[in-house]
Amino acid sequence: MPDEKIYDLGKLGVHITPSPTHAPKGSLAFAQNAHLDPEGEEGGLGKRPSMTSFVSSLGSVSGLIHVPIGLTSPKLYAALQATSVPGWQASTDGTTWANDSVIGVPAQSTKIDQLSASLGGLSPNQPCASYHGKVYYPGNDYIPFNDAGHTPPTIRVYDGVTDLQIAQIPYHPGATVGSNSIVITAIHVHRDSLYVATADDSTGTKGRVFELDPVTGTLTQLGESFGTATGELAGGVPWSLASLGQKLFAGTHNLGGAPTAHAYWIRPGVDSTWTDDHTFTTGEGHVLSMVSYHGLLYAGVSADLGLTARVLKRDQAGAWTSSDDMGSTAPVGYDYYDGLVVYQDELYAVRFQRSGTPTFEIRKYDGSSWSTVYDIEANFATRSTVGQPIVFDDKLYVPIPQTTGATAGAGLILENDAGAWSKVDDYSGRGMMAKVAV
Amino acid sequence: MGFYLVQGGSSLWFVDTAGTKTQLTLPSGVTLSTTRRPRFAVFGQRVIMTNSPSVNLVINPDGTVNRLTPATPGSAPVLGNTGSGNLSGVYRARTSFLILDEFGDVVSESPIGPASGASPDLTTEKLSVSGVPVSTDSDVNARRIYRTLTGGSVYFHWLDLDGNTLTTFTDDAQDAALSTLSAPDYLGVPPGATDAVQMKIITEWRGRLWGVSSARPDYVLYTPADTPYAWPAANSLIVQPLGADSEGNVAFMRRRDELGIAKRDSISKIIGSDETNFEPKNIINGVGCVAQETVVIIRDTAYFLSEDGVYTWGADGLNSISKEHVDPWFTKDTYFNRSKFSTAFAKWNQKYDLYELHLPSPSQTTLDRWVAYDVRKKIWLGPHKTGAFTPTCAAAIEDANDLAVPVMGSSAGAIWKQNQSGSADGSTAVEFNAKMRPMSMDEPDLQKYFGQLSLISRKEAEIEGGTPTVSVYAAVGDVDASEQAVITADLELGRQLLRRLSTSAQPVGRYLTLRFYNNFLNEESADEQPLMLYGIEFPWGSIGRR
Repeated sequence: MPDEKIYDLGKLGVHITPSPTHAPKGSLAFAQNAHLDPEGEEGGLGKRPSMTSFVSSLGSVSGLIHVPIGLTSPKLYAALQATSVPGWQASTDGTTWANDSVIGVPAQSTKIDQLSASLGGLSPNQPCASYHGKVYYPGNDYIPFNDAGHTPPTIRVYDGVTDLQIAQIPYHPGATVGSNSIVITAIHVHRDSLYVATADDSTGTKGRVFELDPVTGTLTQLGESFGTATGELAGGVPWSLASLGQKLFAGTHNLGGAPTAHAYWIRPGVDSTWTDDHTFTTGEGHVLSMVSYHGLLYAGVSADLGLTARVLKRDQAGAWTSSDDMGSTAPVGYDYYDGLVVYQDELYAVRFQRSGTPTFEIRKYDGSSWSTVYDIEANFATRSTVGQPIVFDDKLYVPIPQTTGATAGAGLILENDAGAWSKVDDYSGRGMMAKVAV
Repeated sequence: MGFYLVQGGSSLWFVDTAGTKTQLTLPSGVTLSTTRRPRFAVFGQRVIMTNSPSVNLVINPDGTVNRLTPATPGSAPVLGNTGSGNLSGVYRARTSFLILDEFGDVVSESPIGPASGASPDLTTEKLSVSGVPVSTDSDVNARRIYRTLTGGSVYFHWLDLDGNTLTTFTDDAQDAALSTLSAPDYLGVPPGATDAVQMKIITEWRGRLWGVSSARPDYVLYTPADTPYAWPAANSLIVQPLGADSEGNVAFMRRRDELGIAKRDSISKIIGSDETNFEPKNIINGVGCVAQETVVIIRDTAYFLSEDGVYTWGADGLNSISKEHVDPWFTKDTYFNRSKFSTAFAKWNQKYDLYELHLPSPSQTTLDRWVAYDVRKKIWLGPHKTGAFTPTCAAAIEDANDLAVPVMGSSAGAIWKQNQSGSADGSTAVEFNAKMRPMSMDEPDLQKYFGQLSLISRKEAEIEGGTPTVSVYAAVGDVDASEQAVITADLELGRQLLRRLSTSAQPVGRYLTLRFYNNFLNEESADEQPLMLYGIEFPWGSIGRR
């Protein structure tokens, strides 16, 4: 008897179009959950691979798509003062924090102190910026002015993996020969571009605003320099930057001098010079922080040298008026409003009261009225400052930097989760907070 | 590595490669339909989602969800004059709504609203603007104001108002300070801007989005390059035949140089490189596509389900890949519920190079079966099924190692990965059931006797509580002969000589039919295919013609 040998089981697959008489030998009528041997040249018919569920409880799945874009895994970063744990702490939830030793230590207050001895560790409100998943921050890898062998301040960028220096602040052509810029006062994102403000010269009386190219690290100065010389913009150094429509605003700080602040604006790419939008008058101090809220610009100012701390509002016609001063028109030196930020469609500001027990109050403006939403009386230094508030995972974080030297004081980070305030561990922030997405 | 966007029920989920899910927050007032399939397109690191949402959505990489295009401002601003300033003459203004991302980048801009009336004739004054429209869309966070030059009629970008609250402002920017480019004329409302009409299919091709409206399904609409939110009315192509059926265009087939557009009974393609030469060309009439979800592009060839089978459209033209082998699957009602072909979906199993098409079995409305076409070997296997869940959709995704993995979504709300080791879908055994076609030994008219069956298989490991076996059912007789008692083969042996196929009940026949069945759970197997039959041998002898 002849032997029938079929060693290509399944090789022809299901073949039901021809009649049984014409069906090729070894073809199949059906092949439920059958699968060809992917390894064997001559085939072999096996059971299909299995399946496993890797996510559930989604509801009946009607469609899905794979998005081949690197999944961003955002982390909240907070820079700490270089005392116990220098550098940055990172958290994915704002609760559990871990040191990130890759990112460089940011510029320390000792460098900012060189602006003016009277500032006592003053921390600019917005020294770093979160931009497309990276943090741009002032590096500590330079020798500050007034120290031997001084070098230009640096800007560093960290993407969660690699930390590198991207730019150095160029020498101010109008400054004392041989001097360097002293410190970066602000880094700000405006219309999808990065801007950097600096305080220059040996006395900190000069400053500039640059556009930073995040690809090449090129710094391009915007408009005129700030300073006291002819052709320079008066009012001190650019201290706070803010966006209002296409306009980039710069508010000035006269450092240790009398407040003669200005607010300037420029439309990058349109204007070649800054427009002096407002000269702050008696009763209005240094411009510490600005933000756009409901189409208007708000500025937090200090009460330095006997002026009154308040929030000023710039209306649609360009007029500046007081929006909040907590009814305290009496001048109290070193009181201020700072750390303006918009969170859940409300404007927040931090008010510092120096007299008595130094106190921080979180003030909130809902578009019609101001109220105090959090009040901290603690052992703060008389010249405590406010860092850079940030919204992360729909929560608001407000860092109060630690201060050092003669006005030393503890710092902390506050969290506002939809109205519930709490202290984030015991971190004594440097005032810098940012979002990094790997 | 990437991530996955999933519509489950009426919710939208962001799922990472580890399976961690996060529900995304939809813009206020936006809902997802559970009866219309979501349609997606990836564009500029954002995902466009249409058809199932009550309005078209764009999902940003950070998980925020916005409307693809805000509604057009319904009113015009009112211009007046105030104070001293830089402006003299008469001006007009218009407004659009903006959605900006956290860096100030424009995610979307609505069409420009109606023009204001003429301003008073200014004399070195400022323009005062009131009645700036406010959007009802919660994610609008800025307004863009366009203005004419003095006495002009062409609008230029004047300024942006932050927020969606302010209704008045004053400004005296001189004409020279306005944008040098005139207001865009390419903004337009896409279908799907309201729940009344859907963008029923969408795709990306040549740096643009292409879509079809449920209201005018014979037309293909497209955006200007790199502006996924702008759908100008002028960017519209008629795909013939016009009005041939109520469905119109039902599927895109996105190939490198040609964009296929299928109706139920015809296929056309878009050729060209820009607005000046985009043109639809008919490829064939009589063959079409029944559902967008059946279209899979494999190495620049489109595979899709038509009413009478599966076709490919590629460099070698249009070809049927089902006629020769499995035509009855698609032309008879014996195998599948053909009336529900429009709900079918497919995916590419890249690892094994399979086009896997999910279909409902007869009288069923759920997609409880799937068939697989081996692209390299050009054969079909199936229909497959699983007892673990009811598939509802499918896709090819990449895992944490950037390796392609086909997946299925289930009616119970899970996503299942295919190509896994083991013999069970979850805890449900994979039921293997393969039947050979009747064998006549090339002598269909002769009666034959069939001797002992040898089965050669891969040696399987012993399994807990039993022996791995495969059941063999033989039928000797005519093509419709009934199966005899089961023959059980031990898969631990690798080769086993089994009993004679001809029995006292069926001693002879013109045909021999064999079926192999296995439903065991082999937890110990690390193989992706824990059952492998290599071949069979059996002697046979002719009894003669009777």
